Amino acid sequence: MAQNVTINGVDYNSVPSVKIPIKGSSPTSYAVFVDTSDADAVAGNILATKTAYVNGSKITGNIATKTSSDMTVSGKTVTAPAGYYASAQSKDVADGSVSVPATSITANPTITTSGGNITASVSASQSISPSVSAGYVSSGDAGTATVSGSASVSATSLDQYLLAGNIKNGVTIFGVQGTLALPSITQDSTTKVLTIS
Amino acid sequence: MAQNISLMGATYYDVPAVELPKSGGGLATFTDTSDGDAVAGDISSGKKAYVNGTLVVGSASLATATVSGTTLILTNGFPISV
Repeated sequence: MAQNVTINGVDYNSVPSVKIPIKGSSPTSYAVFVDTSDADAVAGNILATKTAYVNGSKITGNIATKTSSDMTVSGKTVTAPAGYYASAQSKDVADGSVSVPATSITANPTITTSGGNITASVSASQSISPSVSAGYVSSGDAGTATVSGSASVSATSLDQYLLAGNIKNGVTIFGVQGTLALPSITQDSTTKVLTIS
Repeated sequence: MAQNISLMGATYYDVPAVELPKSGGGLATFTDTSDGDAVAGDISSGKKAYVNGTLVVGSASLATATVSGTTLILTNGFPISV
């Protein structure tokens, strides 16, 4: 800036600085005193340790120099502390995803991965072949066995069916003589009509 | 800083500033700024200070932050909180 000053009754307008000989200098050099009243920087505007003058006072900057190592990551948030970054900085942030390589296991159970998803499937089967030894199941042994899933085994006493009326007349099964009279069925070979008598 | 100066045959030691009467009253202060070392890039953009007899206008810009994928990129400069 500049000031209008008066020295020994003489006005000097727009004086930005004053030069005064430095003691003992030869050839003469001058100390320069400047009007700093228009400066407006504060310590927070200047890098740490750097100095300058503002409005007649010397100020020392306090802006710290930072690097990416000063930047912190919490989850997906990056915090860059206030300061001066002398060059461009970068900081990586994990996105929480995990890359799952595509693979499969063919053993039972089957596990497959695709697009980061893991799928497991199980297939199982069991064959049940119930058998009855020679003879029949008595009523006391009759019962029902159920296998969870899709298989079931049942056994029913044959006694209820081993009746004379259920056995053809003239036939004996396990000592039971049949009395069942079966109808006679015939079909006409030309007309295909059935006759039941 | 301060200077040892000779004025009107007298020597003055450790003079940090000179005050002169303003034409309109009051005193104008002229300051020795020879030991300042800040440069424009050390001072926030637009802010002014004097260094070694010269007005210095700051040129350090504010940093800007951008995101590329999962990477935060901060340009050089003075950042506000990011």
